[in-house]
Amino acid sequence: MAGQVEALTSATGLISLLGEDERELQLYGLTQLNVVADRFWAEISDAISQIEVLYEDEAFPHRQLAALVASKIYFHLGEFDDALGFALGAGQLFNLADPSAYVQTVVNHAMDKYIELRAKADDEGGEAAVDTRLVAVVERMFERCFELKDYAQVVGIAIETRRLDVLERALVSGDTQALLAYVQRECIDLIGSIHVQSRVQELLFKVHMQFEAPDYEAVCLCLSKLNHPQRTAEILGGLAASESEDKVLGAYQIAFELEANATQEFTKAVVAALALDGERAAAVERIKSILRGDETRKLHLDFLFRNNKTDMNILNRTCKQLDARQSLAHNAMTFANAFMHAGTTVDNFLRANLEWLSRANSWSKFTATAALGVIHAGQLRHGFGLLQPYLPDDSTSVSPFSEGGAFFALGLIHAGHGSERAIGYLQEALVTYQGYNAEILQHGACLGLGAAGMGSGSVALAQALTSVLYTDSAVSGEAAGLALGMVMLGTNHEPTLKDMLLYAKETAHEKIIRALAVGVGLVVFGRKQEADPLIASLIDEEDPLLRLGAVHAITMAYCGTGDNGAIRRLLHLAVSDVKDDVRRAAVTSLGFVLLRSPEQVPRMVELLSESFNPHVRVGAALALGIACAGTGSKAAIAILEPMLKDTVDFVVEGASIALAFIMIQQNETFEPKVADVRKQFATILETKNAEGVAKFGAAISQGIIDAGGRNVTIGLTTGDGQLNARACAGMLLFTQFWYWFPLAHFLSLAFRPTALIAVNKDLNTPVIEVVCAARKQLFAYPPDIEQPVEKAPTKVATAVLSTTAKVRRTARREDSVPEGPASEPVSAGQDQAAAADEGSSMDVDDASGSGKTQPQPKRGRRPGQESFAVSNITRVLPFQEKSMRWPAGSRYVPVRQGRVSGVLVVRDTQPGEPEELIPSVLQEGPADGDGDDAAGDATVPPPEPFEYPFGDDATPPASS
Amino acid sequence: MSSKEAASKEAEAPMEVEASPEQKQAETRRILLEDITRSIGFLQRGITAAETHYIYRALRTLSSLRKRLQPEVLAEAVAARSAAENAPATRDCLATMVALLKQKPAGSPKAGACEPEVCLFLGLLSMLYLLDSGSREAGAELADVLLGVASASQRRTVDPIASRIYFYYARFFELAGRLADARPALLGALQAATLTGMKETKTMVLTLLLRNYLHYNLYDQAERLTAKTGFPAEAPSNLLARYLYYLGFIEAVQLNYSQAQAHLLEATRKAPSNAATAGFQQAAHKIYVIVELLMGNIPERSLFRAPTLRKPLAPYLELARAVRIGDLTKFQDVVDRHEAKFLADNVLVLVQRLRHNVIKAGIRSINVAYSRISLRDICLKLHLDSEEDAEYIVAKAIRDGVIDATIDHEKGFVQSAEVHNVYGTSDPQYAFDKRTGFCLGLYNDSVKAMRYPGGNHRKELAYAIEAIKRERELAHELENEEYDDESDEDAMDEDL
Repeated sequence: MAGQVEALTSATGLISLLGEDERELQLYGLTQLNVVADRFWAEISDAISQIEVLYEDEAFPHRQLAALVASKIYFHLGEFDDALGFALGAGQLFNLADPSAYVQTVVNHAMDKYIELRAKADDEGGEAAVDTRLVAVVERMFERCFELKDYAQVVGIAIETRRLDVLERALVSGDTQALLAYVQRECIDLIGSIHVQSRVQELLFKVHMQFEAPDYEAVCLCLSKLNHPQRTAEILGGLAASESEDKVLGAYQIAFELEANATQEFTKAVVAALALDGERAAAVERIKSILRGDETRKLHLDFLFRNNKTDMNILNRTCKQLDARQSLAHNAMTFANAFMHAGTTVDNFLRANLEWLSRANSWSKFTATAALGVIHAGQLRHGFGLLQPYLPDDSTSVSPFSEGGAFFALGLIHAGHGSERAIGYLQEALVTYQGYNAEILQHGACLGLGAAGMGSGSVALAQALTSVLYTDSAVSGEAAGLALGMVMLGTNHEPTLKDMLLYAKETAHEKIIRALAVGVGLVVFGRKQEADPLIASLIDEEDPLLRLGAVHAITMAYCGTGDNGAIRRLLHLAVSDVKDDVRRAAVTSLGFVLLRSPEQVPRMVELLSESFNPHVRVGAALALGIACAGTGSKAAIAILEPMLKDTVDFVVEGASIALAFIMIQQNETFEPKVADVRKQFATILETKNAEGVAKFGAAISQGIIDAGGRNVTIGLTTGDGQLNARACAGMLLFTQFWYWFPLAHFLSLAFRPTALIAVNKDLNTPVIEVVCAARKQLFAYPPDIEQPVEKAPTKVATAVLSTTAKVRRTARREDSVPEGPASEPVSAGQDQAAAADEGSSMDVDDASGSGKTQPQPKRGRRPGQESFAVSNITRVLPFQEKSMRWPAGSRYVPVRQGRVSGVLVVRDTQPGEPEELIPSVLQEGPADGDGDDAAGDATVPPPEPFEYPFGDDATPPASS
Repeated sequence: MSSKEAASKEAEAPMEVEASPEQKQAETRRILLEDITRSIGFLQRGITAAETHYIYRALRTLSSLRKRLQPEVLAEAVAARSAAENAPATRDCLATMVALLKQKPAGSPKAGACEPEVCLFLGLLSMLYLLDSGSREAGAELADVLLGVASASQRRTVDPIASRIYFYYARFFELAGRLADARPALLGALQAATLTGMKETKTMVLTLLLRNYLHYNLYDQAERLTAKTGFPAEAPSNLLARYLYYLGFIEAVQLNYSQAQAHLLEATRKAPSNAATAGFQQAAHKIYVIVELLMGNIPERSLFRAPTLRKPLAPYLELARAVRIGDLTKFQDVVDRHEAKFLADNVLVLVQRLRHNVIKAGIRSINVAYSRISLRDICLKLHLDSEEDAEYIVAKAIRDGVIDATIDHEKGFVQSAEVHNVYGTSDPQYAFDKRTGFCLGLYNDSVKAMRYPGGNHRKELAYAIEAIKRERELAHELENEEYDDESDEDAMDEDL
């Protein structure tokens, strides 16, 4: 029989059997055709209608066989829909276990179909009317996977098909812990619909809780995503009240994680819900303090202050090269300084350059004052004290610009961490200062409120801001529009959205519309498909500013998802929109959307980066910068480097900024191009005839590349790979500096300190050494210009001493004789370096004299051993983490295994013995607000009173 | 082979003596091994870059390697790739290769891993050796094993190598005279290649299948296959030429002459014309000539004068002559004399169909020459059996539009109609349109066939940027010279 079939050269005979009247003959024909279908499909396909007739003939006893043959033929013809239809008709004859390409393809198609039908029905809210036979195929597939114990696959398909029942079964039957982590880490973010996402989260929560000892960290993460502060508070409270120290420490760690990942709205609600009961009040109080962000900020301040490695020479050199009389150059210098010192509280540069500072006028004064907020970010306790000289009081009015800037600075200090006092103060300011003359103050207050109340979702705040918006003043309205977005970040709050859209269509002020466009984007942050109706309504608007809103909405709603639909829409806008602004924003957006797959971006924007349109080019540069920030991606650098020589100034600016983003914290050993690029920035600044905008870009790039004393990176995602809403919003607002310079300050929200900070049960920092198994040079700080770093750690301490500042100041004064612009800096730099060295050597003596042994990483490589020790509160770069090892037999063990960076809670294995703590470099001092809710007992000392030498200016408020 | 020369010079220089035969042999072996390793290097670059043009570069070395292959060297190259951590299929395949080359399996401690591409490439070399050394059975066996590796991989870089594997697979079966046995595997490969988007393999397998069907005169099957599968647009042109040839053949057999003519013409033009492709050109032109004749056209005389075509096309020239003058006896004579040749070329069926055309040609020439001629004279001129026959044939010719005439049945003669001026009709326009269409198609194809290597324009770009920069600097300098003193104050004023 087999031989017969082999010898066949044509299926015509078999096909003709189908036309017979005898059922037997037809059956024989079909059976044979089924066997030879793979060989003679081309021939049989001419007779497909005959086979279909047999299938449709109710009286024919072997209809299923006919269906199977028809299905095979359609498969060969490439008609997979028909093939699937007939395969379903074949019932049990369609053998799922068959490994043939036919069965595999049809099953894949069945899955796709099922997924599509389920998703459609789900989105429309109805029950899926899926062919039961199709369901049966899918069920059989699931069963097979269960038999093969291929749970990861089941999990994937179950999520795609939205079959939570199957998902639960898979989670329970497999290695639950691993699968739960897999779902949380890999799958959740791929789900397009928020509803399904939260349903899956709920399921995860349920499965987690079935354990005897649930992984509370994962549970709390679920709860934060589900927005259940009450439950979270209960769990944290329970852990804090437990006898086991491990659990209490675990609760601390969870609180740290929540503070980093969850929204302000959520953490505030948890804090409110945490009950203080007598027994464990101290622990609960600590958790509250952590959740409010006080602890993290305190530790980060300590870290940034202690390790500040800013190269003052760069700033001084740049300062000389830029003409302070130009407000553009003045702004550039302000930003460069603010970014370099972001969060370090070091304002030496300002003190040393009072004359330069005094040249600021009108809005550059606003920016310069707001820069204090960036430098002192996180100085919760002394925020008001620091800004006191600039904040308006009833008696005298210094200048509306510096007062407005001070409001903004206040907001930046409290960014994402709105203490009631700060928010209350700013809100009051909004009410107090009204009218035509107050619009600059209102502008500052609105931006400040936005920063401080970021993501709080407070309706009261939103109302206050809306009322400012309705005054229809371009200056204050713009800020109010942005602030509305920031306050409602990611809430998708319908009434606010409606108000914003209505007003955007009503007002005649371009500034307000543009701000609202950004604001709308912020409101729908991370909402994915939920934002689609909004996007669709804006994308076809005639007003380009509203289309801009659509772009921002896509950017934020699909931020970090890599969603293909979003990318397609953006690419389409990028090449087809008639307005340059929209095209630029659309290309930039690609960077946000592909945040988590930076390796894809260079290839995608390569062609766009060579576009004839400079706006598209600059967009491409920024997209690369945003997506590849901190990665040092070689492909991205290769595209960006030639752009530094672009003929259009603002492309050079964009390319500089993007390169700074990418190369932040990279040193020459790791990426040899870094030195080149730094030099190029300097060259652009030096070149006499370079355009002002290009110089602006180069200056702030110098600030970004060394941001936060070289101790922060651009962290649009947290250490765990979770999206950081505050940072993403900050980055989007930063890109708006194109229209309005002060918004560049928002970049400080995207800075993430890269630190190893271990805290014990009292939230103090014990002496700990962690091993890093790699060459030390790989992770070293880049050398200072014109002077090698030999005593880097001691130099840190110089910043503490006021004597150093004095020495410097005198040095500056001596130097302050007028100098030539280009030739002098070398000698000036050396002078200064010498002065600094003197100070530091004194310092070392001091330290050794007092017998304090500051734990320091051991310098110098031990021969033959590629590892070095890293002490507590030091910099650990993101790409350094993989070589970090927690040493075995260490006294302190982290409660959460596998983490070597960020804030880690550690358990003391020898609780009885005295602990050696790293003394805080921060001195204790009275908080400026007596009733403040800050709980920390040690903060960075308030710098000496110091005031900007702004004269009273009679400059009228700049009209928009 | 510059490397070869260099290497041999290097070897000879210090010794200054004539190398012994053993040394020479060792030397050639070493060079061969080096060349193979270099080709493998290309493959690996192609794999890492996921770029097929490196793979093609490796494949281009095949013809030079093929002439020098030695089983020992091949075994050595295989041993250098048989790491223990290779996939089981690859490992088996490499082992079979060594066994079939009649070499001892040798493991090398520092053997590298073997990607499917490399495995297939080594297999390809082994097959070539077996083919050239006449070990057909061994070759078929190896081909079978290699097929397993080729079909298991879905990488784009495997595609070009796999397509060649399939070619030799079919070739071995053809030589063994059991081409039909290869058909199921080829059908399977076609399906797999279609599903995984392996374009080159798909085209190759499609061509092989057509050849397979034609070998057994299964024109129906072949026609259905071509009708039901699309031919990938971006197929390599030599594969396309072969496909078109088979397509033309099938269509010619199935009486679809105009299509057949178009396809065969394209096939002859797509195929490169050099010594290596002479065989293909001859085969394609043979059928082309017959199809032209069948369509009632007389091929260009120059076609038969081409150096590579003159001899093999000689019988076809005679045929064309007979048809042109419409002499049935002469035609019959030619067919009888060259019957064996036509049979060998597999065109006898088509040649026999030409009889009608001969008659038609005769009628047409009569029609042109005589404004009126009796049926009897036609009968004599065309050596027909009877006047009635002549009448039927003329009637048919009139109905087919071959001639424009009327038959006077009563008086028994044919009256030719007035000759139209062909330039008064739209025929020239159609002909012109056809030729324009062809040229445009050719142009489009050539544009599509061009490669634009990425990043080449950058060099010019850099130059342009430099130029612009210089210009700008110059402009600034000029400006500065002019307003040397005032510039600072101006800037100040502007800012204020």
